[in-house]
Formats: sequence, C-alpha cells, structure tokens
Amino acid sequence: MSLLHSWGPSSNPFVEAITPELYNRLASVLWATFIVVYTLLYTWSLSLGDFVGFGWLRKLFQPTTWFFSFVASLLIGVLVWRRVQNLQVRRRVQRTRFLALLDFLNGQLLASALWHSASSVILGYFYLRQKQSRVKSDWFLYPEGKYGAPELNENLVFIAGYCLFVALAYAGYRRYAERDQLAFPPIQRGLHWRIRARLPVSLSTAVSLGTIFLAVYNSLYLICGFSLYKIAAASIVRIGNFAATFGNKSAPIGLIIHEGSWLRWIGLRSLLHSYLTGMLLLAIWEAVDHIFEVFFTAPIRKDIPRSTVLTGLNLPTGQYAQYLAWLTLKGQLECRGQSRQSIFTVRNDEPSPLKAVLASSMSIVDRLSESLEVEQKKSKDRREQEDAKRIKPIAAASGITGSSVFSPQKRKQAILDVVSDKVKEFVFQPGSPARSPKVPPEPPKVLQDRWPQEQHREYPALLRPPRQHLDAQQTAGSTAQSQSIPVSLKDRRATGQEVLANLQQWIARWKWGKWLVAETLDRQTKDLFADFQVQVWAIQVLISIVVASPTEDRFGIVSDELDTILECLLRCQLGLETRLADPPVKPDEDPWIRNQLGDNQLLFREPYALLQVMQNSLYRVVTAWYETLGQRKLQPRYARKFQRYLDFRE
Amino acid sequence: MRAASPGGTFANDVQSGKTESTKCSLPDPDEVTLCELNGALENIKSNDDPALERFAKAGGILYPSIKLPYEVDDASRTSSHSYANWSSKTRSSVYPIISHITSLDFWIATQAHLKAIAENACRLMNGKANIQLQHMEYYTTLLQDMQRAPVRTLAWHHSRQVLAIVHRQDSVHIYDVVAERWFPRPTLGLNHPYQRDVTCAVWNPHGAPVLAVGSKYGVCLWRLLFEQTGFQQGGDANFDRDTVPALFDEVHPGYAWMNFLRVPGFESITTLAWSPDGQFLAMGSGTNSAIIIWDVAAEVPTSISRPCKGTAELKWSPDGMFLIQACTTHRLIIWETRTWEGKSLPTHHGRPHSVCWMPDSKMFMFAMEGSDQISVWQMNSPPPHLECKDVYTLPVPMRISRTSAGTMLKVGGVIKRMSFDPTGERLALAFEGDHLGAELIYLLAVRTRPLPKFQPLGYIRGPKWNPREPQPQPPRSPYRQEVDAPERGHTRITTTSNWEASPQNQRPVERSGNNAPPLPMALGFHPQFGRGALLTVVWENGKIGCVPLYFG
Repeated sequence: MSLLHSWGPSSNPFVEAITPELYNRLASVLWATFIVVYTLLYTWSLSLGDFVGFGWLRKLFQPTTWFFSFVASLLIGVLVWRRVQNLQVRRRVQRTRFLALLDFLNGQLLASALWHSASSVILGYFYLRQKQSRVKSDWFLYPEGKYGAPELNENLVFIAGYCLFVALAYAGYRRYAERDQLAFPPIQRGLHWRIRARLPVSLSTAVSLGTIFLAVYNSLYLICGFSLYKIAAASIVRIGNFAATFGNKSAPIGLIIHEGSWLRWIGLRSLLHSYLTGMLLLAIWEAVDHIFEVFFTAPIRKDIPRSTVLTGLNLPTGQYAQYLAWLTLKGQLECRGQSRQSIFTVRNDEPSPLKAVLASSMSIVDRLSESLEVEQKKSKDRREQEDAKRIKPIAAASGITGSSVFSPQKRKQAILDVVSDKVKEFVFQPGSPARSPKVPPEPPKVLQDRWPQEQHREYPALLRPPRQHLDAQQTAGSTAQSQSIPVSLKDRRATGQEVLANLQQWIARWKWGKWLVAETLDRQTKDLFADFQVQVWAIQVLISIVVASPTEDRFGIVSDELDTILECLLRCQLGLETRLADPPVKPDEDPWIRNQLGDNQLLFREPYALLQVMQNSLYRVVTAWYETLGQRKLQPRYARKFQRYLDFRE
Repeated sequence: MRAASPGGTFANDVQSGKTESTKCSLPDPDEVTLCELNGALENIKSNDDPALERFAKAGGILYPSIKLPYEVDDASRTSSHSYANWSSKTRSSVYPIISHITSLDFWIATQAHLKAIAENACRLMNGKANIQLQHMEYYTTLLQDMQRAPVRTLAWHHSRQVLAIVHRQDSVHIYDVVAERWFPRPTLGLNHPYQRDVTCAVWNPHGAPVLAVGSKYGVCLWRLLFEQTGFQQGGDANFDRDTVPALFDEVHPGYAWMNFLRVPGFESITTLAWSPDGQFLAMGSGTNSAIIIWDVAAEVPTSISRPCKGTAELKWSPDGMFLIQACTTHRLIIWETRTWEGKSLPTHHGRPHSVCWMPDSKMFMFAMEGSDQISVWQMNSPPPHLECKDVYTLPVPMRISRTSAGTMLKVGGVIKRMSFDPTGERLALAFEGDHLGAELIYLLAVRTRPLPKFQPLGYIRGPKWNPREPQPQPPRSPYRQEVDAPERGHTRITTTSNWEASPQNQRPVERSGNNAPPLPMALGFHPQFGRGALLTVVWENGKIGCVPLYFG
C-alpha cells in the first residue's frame, strides 16, 4: 500500500501489527472531519431569526448543508489522505536559506494550495448561498428599468478573491510553520479530552489568522483591487465568449467596468461577510488539523508483544512507525508491574530484550554525540583555515612561508590525521585516496525504495528525480545486482549535487546571494536535532530501565553495562555543552542571532532542552545507584564530569 | 527535661479524645525542644540541662540557628543577582520605547489594568461580578498570612543539607547548613522583577540544584551553576562519594540563572509540585480551576482541569502515579498521571489542606480548614483506577492542659499545618489561633500497616520573642503598625479566614492570647535524613529551627 511508505516498511513486524489501528485512526479522522464540517456549516448557516421559531431545527436537516458538508469533507479528506501519505514526524530542515527556499516551493505546497483552494471555493459558495438575503450573491448586477450590459458584482469578486487568498496564504503558512509535522504531546490524555482541549485553540487560531489575512488582503485590494476587478471581468467575458462559441449561442454579454479611482474601498458589510467566510474556512481546516494530530500522536492501545515493538525501534530515522515504537515502549516502561518486569526476563530461546533496548537507545545517543563532535571538528577546522588565511600574508611578509607550520600539504595531512575515519567516510567518496586505508570496504547495502536518509538533506526535493523514475531504476538494478546501489542512481545524485553546487556558486557572487547560501547556526542546530523527540525518548527509556534495574534486574545485565551507559550519556552531555559554549557558527556572524542575543534570550532550544533531559536522567541514575557508584570506573574526562553529579553541583 | 514517654498504642485513645493529657506532658514556657531520642522529646531549660548530655551521647547534631530579619536591605533588590535580567537594561538604548512595549512587565501591567477596568465595569453592571473576587479572596488571604512573618516558606534540597528560604520581600536565600554559608551573600538574595508575591518554592527531587519558585505570574526556575571542581584523579580512581564538598565555597563560586515559565492568563500561583522523576512540574493557581503540567526540559505546558474555583495545594504520590489537587472549595481532585483522568472527592467538613502521601503511595491524609480532624484515605485499586475510600479519621480536639510548672495551655483544636515525614513514621501538626499553647507543635508517631495508627510523642516548643524586638499586636503580627484603630477592638484570624464567608462571619479570637510566643508558620521535613527525620519549623519571628528526630 502506498500509505505504508510514510509509516514504515510493510515487511517490518511492528508496522504490520500497527497498520490496522492506523487505518482505524484514518477512518476516525475522516469521520471527525465530516462531523466538524457539518457542525460548522450548520452553525454558520444559522441566523438570529432561526431561534425565534424552529428554524434551527429545520436547518438541522437541510439537504444543502448535508450536501455541501459531504463535498467539502471529500475535498478536505483528500488533504488528510495526502498528509497520511507524507506523514512527517521529523523536522524538515535545510542548512541554508537558499536550500530552504527551494525546499519550500515544492509539489506538496502546490497540491496543498490546490486542495485548500477547492475546499475554500465550495465552502465560500455555501456561505454566500446561505446569506443570499444579506449579500447580493448575483455575479452580474443589471441596471434597473432598462436593458443593458450588466456590471460585475465587485463585492463578490472581493469575497471570492478573499477565499482564494485565504486558501493560498493558509497553505503557505502551514508549509512555513511546518504544521504538517506531528508534535507528540508530553502528556497523553484520553482522545476526547485532547480534542476538547484543542477545539478552542483551533477556533482562536482561526480568529487570529482570519484577522491577519483580512487585514493583509484588504490592504492589497486597496492598491491592486482595480486590476483584480478588471482581470476578473475580462476573464468572465472570455469565458462567456468561449461558452457562447462552444454552445453555438447568441453573442456574448458585455460588462460595464466603471473607471473609478484606483484605490478600491469595500463596504463594511462585505468586509464582515469576508471575515466570517474566512473564519469558517480557517476554523474547519484548523479543527481538522488538530483532530488529525490528536489521533495520530496517541500511543498504540493494542497489546503488542515486546519483541514486535523492539523491531520498530531500529526502523530508519524519520519513520512514523519508529516514533510509535519508542512511544509504546516508553509507556510500557513507565508503569510498574508485569509490563516493565518482562523486559528484565531472560530466556534461552530468544535474545535478551533488555540488551536490544539498551543497544537501540545508546545507538541513538551515540549517533547524536558523534554528529555533535563531527560538527565541532568541522567548525574547528574551518576556523583554523580562516586563521591560516589571515596569518598567511603576515607570514609571507616576514619570510617564514617555507616553515612547516604554513605548508599547505602538511596542513592538509594534519587535518586528515585529526579527522576520524567516520568523518572521512562521510566526506569523501569511496575509493578516494583521502580515505583511510584502515577503513574496511563498504559493505553491500540492501536496496531501499527510497533515498538514503543522509542524502535527503543534501539537496531539496525540487532537484530530486521523480519517485517513479527511481523505482524503475531500482527495479532494473535489483534484477541485475540486487546487493548494491545502482550506478545510475549515484550518477544522478552527483548530477543533482553538481547542479546545486553550480547554482549556489552562481548565486554567491552577489552579496544577497552570500546571505542566501550561508550556513546559519539555527538551521544547523535544527538539522542536528531533527529527531529531537526520538532522542529524548531514547534517553528516557534508557534511564527508566537503569532506574528500575536495582530492584528488578535479577541477572545484573544493567549493572554490567552501567559504565558504558554512563559514558554514553556523559559523552553526549559534553558534546552538548561544548556546542552551547562554543557554537560552530559564531553569533557575531549572524545578524539575526546577534539581535536575539541582545535580548539575552535563550536561542538554542533543542540542545538546551536535551541537556536538561540528560542532567535530570543522570541525577536519577545517581539517586537510584548512589550506594554502588563508588566502584565504577569511567574514563577520566567522564569521571570528572560524573563527580560533579555525585557532588550535586551539576 | 524529658517528656513523659508514651506507653502502649494510643490510637484508640486519641480517636476517642479521652486520655491524651495523661499520655504526654507539655513543655514549660521557659523550655525549648532539642530533639527526639528513642521516642521521647528532649526539652531543655538551660545550657547545663542533662538532656544536652544525652543528646551528645546519642551523637546528636546541633543545627545552626537561622534567623531572617523582617526587612532585608533594599539595596539587594536594586542590585539584582540574577543573570537573566531580560528587562530593558540589556536592550539597546536606541529602542527604549519598543523595549518597554515588548517587555513582559508592560503586558502584565496592561493586562492587569484592563482586567481591573473590566471587573469594575462588570461590578457596576452586574451584581454577580464579585464571583471572581471571591476566587481572589483565598489568594489575597494567603498572601496576607504569609506577609505577617519574615519568612514565607522554605524548601529542603533533596540530597544536600541546603535550605531555600523565601523572604517576605520575595527574595530567595539559599543556606548550606553544613558549610553555614549563604548564597548569595547575606542581605542579598535571588531577586528578579518577575519574582513577585512568592507563595511556594520546591527543589528538583533528584538533587539537581534547580529551584522552582511560584510567583504571581508564573514560575521562576532558578538553576544554580558552579565552576568546575578540581577532580584530579585518574580514570582508575573510584568516585569520591564520601566527602561531598560544601555546595558553596570560596574556591568554586556559584551563579544563578533563571528561566521564567508562564502561561498567559494563568496567574496567582499558589502551589508547585515536581513529579518524582523530575520531568514534570505541576503548577496550581488560587484563582483558576486548571492546573498546568510543565514538561520542564522542553518548557511545554499542558493544562488539565475539572470544575473547582482554585487550587490550594498539589501533591504528587511518591511513585508518581497520582497527583492530588486540593481545591480552594470543599473538594479534592485526584488525577491518575498516565491517562490524566481525574476524580473529584468532596470534603464536606471544609477546605482540604496539608495533603500528605504515605511512602507506599497507597494512602493519603489531609486536614480541613476549621476542623480538628485528619482524614486518611486509601487507594483501593492500582492505577489507572481511581477508587479510594475514607478509612480512618483522627480527631485532635482542643483541650486545656497544665504544664509541670503549672501554666495552663490550650492545645489541639483546628489544624493549621501538617507535615509528614518522608519515611512515613512521624507526623507534625500546628494548630490554629494565637492563644497560649498555639505555639506548640504536636508530634505523632505513625504506623501505616495494616491500618494507620497514630501515637502521640509530645509537643515541640520553639523560641520566644526577643524582648528587644517589637511585641505582637493584633492581628498578631508584631511588625504590623498600620492596623486601623477599629480593628484593634476585635482581632480576627488572618491565617486561614473563611474566604467564602463574608468578613462579618469570621470568628473573633481571644485577646488574651496576644502574648503567646512566636507561632509556627511553616513546617517541613528533610526529604532524606539518615537517622530518622529532621523537622524544620519556620517561626513567626523569622527564626528557622531544626529539630532532629532520632528513631529507628
């Protein structure tokens, strides 16, 4: 099924186990969408007069409301369906503004704008139909008492334009604010509680967004309204001409356009109805968005065997099923009793689940530590290079160019020596002489029906080949050599990178271009912590096990591994502290950060939050294991750090 | 002088309220309680009292006497010690107006003004508009009560012998009892413009030097930072676990950083409670029925609510599975912390306060305003079920008793404060009123299995007024000079007045009691005390006394 792409590979047992529940959730969201749409349309169709008699009851069963609810729900359902297909749990970050811009303007934005526009047209039409007595809903206003060319109803042009504007602006806002990314709440309450809590939020967001959008649209209409009106009139005439020609009817109608002032003022009544229409649209979209998030961020209620849950932990990063696996495991470990004790049970016929969880958690923490260290090292090298550039002219002037310190060859060698094998593997292509000879040959990788995760961040979706093309290539490749990455795929990747590199070089010739292609600290930070939620859960799961182990781990597995666990956590903490103390991109280099620092605000949300989690976790270890920590032996730098925990000074 | 050792089980006697006076004697007015040794309280009269020798032989530790003045130096408030001064100081002088408008102070002030205008308008238009004011009454009464004494509240660090003391002028002072050192230095304190009307302070439960302070508009989360210690040993060396250095010393100075956690519209914070795992911080308001659960690391708030007017107290169960919300109405709400389902328990006799959990998280007890009874409730089923029932009621009626020196005292009666030792073996009670005898703290031994049993151990007596200091005036505070003349005629209880009743219905207090020694204002036990329990009492005169209870 195509939906499984976003949930995780269908061959994974955990994905297989949760799939029925996820389909149920999707069905629930679609039902809820219809209920929301119907409720809001019904509410908007009411007027004060309906409460005098039984008008409110009659409107409850009005076929028009049901029909429009159904059609609008279908259109919004497509949006829901698309969101499920591209379910995003990981932050989508590009390292430069230029890449972010390219990533922003992709097909998803276009599709989102299209479906939002379609639903806005339907809902706007429904609203105007309901308010026929208050708003002149005829497109053509004929002069009274005589036959003549009609005038295009400007109020309707304004309202219709506003509906489309709201749709486009909302689609852009969602994309910009990454509203498609699921935000798992720290506290998991029941579904109906969460929906009840979210609905007022969606209404207030609708009000505030509606106000902003109307203000912007009204300002734009004030200036460009006349052009818009003329374009609309011309389009209608052409459509009329075309329809008349096609239908072999009489001559097309002509439209009167009053050549008034270019400043277009709109009456209060139209403004009010535009505002209400916009609010209706936004309230529906927001409510559906919140309901979707409530359903899809809930933990799995079904009892899934522990071994099945563990298979979900090691899914590729960014998969929805991986997040659910961590969430489920965290929930199981948080409650005392059989559920938690079972993880400490060792059976001869199957691998220890405890070891599997420890390994998965520590691998995530280690990966983060490694990324932090690599970034720090890269930044250090960059600074050294910049320093060397600055020193070089001075050295040349003073006649010490021949010294070994400033020799480029030696310097390059020195850098290569400093950089770890993993970094070289990351930076240089396989087969490159710059790679260490100690690096073992790359093992054959199993073909995947998607690009490797690391490559995603290298260039935006616009420059990626279409999925069908990839699939075709991979299918062809799999028959020929099923255990290696197809050559053509790598070629294409190189082409994409080349195009991108050339484009960036071209842009960087200008000052604004440099600003666009510069790597910023906040983007770099977001990129490093794109999997922030899983990183936090991994640490919390790890610590739950360690804290419970003194009483529940009868085989002493955790006790044996405690040194490694502590070193793993302390390494990550040191990496985070180094990054916060000495960021790779200095705040002075980024005016935005400089301004923020002027306010003494905390900038780096994720590393700081992760540091808090880490400190709290390590203190929990200290509290649980305090009596036996005196026998532990850690590496000196970690021991020094850990001593501060034992002194309660960290 | 040694108090008479109680003999046998006393629970039934206490419950019937018959023979309490025969079981434990009262300390004389010129005595002071030193400690508890083997189930008996040791009181001393002078420096050569034999109780001191017994105390020394038992390896007792004398805790330093801490006393805070009524007014701290005003200079401390201007030279802020915080490193998170977000106000206009740090902003460029080019944008003074913008910085003023964007500052939180401005918005808070604006919001308060608008609210006041709206309230006044409502009051004019609708007689029922004073509902909100009724909600406010608990909060204002609490603040008035706290404002009487120099110290508002205190909190023990969970792993160190370090106290956080909140002064009535909203500054927080941290005192290392072992090193006998203040942080910041005396007369200064942790201050910040956002730290106003402080009502509570709690340390992180896992030993991290993080202190949450509840103020009017939110939580000030103070993080103490220390420079690197000189751990010079190699990797093979074991950790130095036995010689934990003092938290504050000259070599490694500390700093403080404050984060301000605020939810717009959620004001008048009255209580804070950390979850046992240190991940969440619950925050309650005296004027709002909701409680906010903060994910402290991510700084994400979540609001949960059930109908009630406000929150007086929040208490997390030791296993973290339940959270009790004591409302400002006659109601307790118990929350299950996985699904966050809540159950409302009516407390018909009065507003619940001083909620205490037993260490096994299976029972909890609380006192009620205007009542001389302690209710013990039991959780009948494990989470996520919320079935609980009232299993025991302990009455502590007021009685007149005579000390060995012949002084007549009124002890017992309406419970004002209650504190339960984390080991679950000692319970301390302070009583309402300002009569002679209200200054005594009632100490009970507790056994919880199979059913709770309470055994009185005696009364703890604290310090006396310093003759050179101002003597207490009605309504009780010795420092209050601005009492109106008509009010002098009839004193009223300001400690826990009934905010739901009109001021006319508040009960008068006998004037004869105005000469009573300093009353206990707050009680607390150290969370981890090796040899029993360490009771800490904040007295009305600003003194903080520690009474070690050696048992077990």
